[in-house]
Order: sequence, then structure tokens, then C-alpha cells
Amino acid sequence: MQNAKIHKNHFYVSAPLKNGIGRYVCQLQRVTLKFCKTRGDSKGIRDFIESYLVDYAKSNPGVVVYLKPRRHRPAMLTMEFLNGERHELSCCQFDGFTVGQFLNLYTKCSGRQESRLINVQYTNHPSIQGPWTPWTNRNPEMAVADLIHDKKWREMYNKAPSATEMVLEMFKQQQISNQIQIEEKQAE
Amino acid sequence: MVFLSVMRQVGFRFTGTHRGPDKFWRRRRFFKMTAHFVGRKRNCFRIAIKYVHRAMVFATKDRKLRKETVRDLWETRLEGACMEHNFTRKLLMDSLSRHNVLLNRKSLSNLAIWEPRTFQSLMNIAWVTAAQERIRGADGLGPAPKNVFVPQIEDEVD
Repeated sequence: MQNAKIHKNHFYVSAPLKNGIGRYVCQLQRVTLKFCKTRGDSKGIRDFIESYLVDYAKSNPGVVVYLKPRRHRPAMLTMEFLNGERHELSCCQFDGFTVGQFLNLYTKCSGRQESRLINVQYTNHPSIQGPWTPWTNRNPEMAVADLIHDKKWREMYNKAPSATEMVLEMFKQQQISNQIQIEEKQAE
Repeated sequence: MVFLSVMRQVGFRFTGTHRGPDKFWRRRRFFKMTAHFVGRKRNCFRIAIKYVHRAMVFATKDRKLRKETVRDLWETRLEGACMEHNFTRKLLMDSLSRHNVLLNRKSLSNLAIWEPRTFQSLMNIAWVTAAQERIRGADGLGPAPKNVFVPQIEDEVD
């Protein structure tokens, strides 16, 4: 596998093709048991074939079981899935029961490749009220607010006098002081 | 061959004898971890091995650090969310715990991001509680929000 693909092999929890929501379809298509009739490695798989295999086949009618006795070859289990994936498991030195356990495991697998679970939690709708934006807690009146002339906003945001007001104030004071000077001169 | 011992001493490079298992697979184990590196450290083994070892050491150490960093992030987010309403995170946590609302920093910061109105309601409850119980720091905040019903906290009977 390419190095780049290793880090892209991840998934959120999901059922492939929504399997199980309606009818559940077993994703395991066929199972091939390859073994040797005499080799010691295959003892477990031979035990499995004698004791457990028929029960397994009866309880999983959707799975086709093939047996491949091959002289002097190691014991192998080949699983093929409905999506075309194939998984091979070496059963050398396995116990008969262990072979059955692995077979049960693969019966419940989807054919998806082994991948890393990103998170157990997943949702398509993380927010009901709408996620936070910079305008969530802002007053929409601010869009048309006159911060200079409107008294309501002046009290809240803009208490200091504007330059125009300061100049007007200075002019008034000047007028008053001029008036006072005139009156003082007249008094004299 | 007569001089086998000499040839073995000279080493693999000059004789071409195969010493052990195929080194391609041993090196591939490390190259799997260098896919996101830049430059020669991604593809040249003797350079990559140093950086892979360091990366693994960082990963080990930072497992603890990640928990601290993420906790700090939650606290910063909560502080920001509270500041929008002129409240403080400490008062929020304190007041909510007095009502046995045991939401942790993670849950609260998630609410602040994804359910801002719910977060505001929780904060209002905390504010009114802080004003009623006269918790330190509640004085300088300004008037508590109106139309918020908060049940009285009963003192524990010893």
C-alpha cells in the first residue's frame, strides 16, 4: 500500500449500504478451507471440519463453504465478501474451536478493509439552534444605529462630546465672555 | 571457497551475501510512519530512522500534554463565550456546581459553540445564582438578567 494511503484509511461509525436498517444481508460470500489430511498444522482445521463445520454451514445458509484438501500444504482460511474483498487467514497450529471463532468473526464482518475508527460519535446535524457566529449575540439594530445623533445610543456608547459640539460649546463660551466684557465696560 | 572467514569479516556490502531477512520489509515498517514527513527524511532510511524515533518519543510525551492543551482550549473558549455577555468563566463554573449542574468544560464549550442560546440560559442561571448567593466577583458585573427563575439553594443539613 502507498505510504500516503495508510493515513487515509479511516472511517466514522457507519453500516456499509445501510445494511441492517431494512433486511440484514450477510456480507460473507464464500469460505474456502484449505488443509492437508496428514500434516500436523492442519489438525485443528480437521477437527473443525469433523465437529463444527456442518452446524456452521446450516446456521449460515448464505455462505458457501468449499473444502480444499491439498497434500503437504499449510492450513488456510480464505474469506471472500460481497464487495469483492478477500481475506486470507493462516490456520496453522490452530485449535478446532479457534477456527470456528475466527469463522464466526468473519461472518459478521463487512468486506471493508481494516481501518482506523476516527471517533465513536458522529452526527450530520451538530447544531439545532444554529452554530455560533460573531453576530449571534449582537444587537441587529446596530446595523442602522446612529451612534452620534441618536440619544439612546449616545448614552450607551458615545458619552464624550463630538468635535462639532466642542467647537459650538467653545463659541458659546466665547460669546458669553464677550458679552460679559461688554457689560463690564458699560458698567465702568 | 578457501577464504570464507575473510570474506565474512569484510561484510555484506563487498561480498553480496544475504545476511538476514529481506531488509525491505523491516524498513517499510518505519517508512509507514514517515508518509507525512518532508524531504529526505521521508524516503531515505538512515535519515528517516532518527526522525521516526523522535516522532515516537514526542507522541509518547504529548499524550499527557494533549489533555492539558485541550483543557486550556476549552477554558479559553468558555472565557470568550462568557465575556460576550460580560460574565466570567469562574463564576459560571462555581454557580452551576452549586446547583449540581455538573457539566464539564468540554460540554459547556460545545454548547457555547453549537447551541449558543442554551449556553446563554445556563449563564443566566449562573448569573442570578451568583447575585443571590453574593459570590465574590459578582458585584462588579452589572445588573443580573431579568425573568430568570432560579430555585433557592438549600443549605446542607448536618
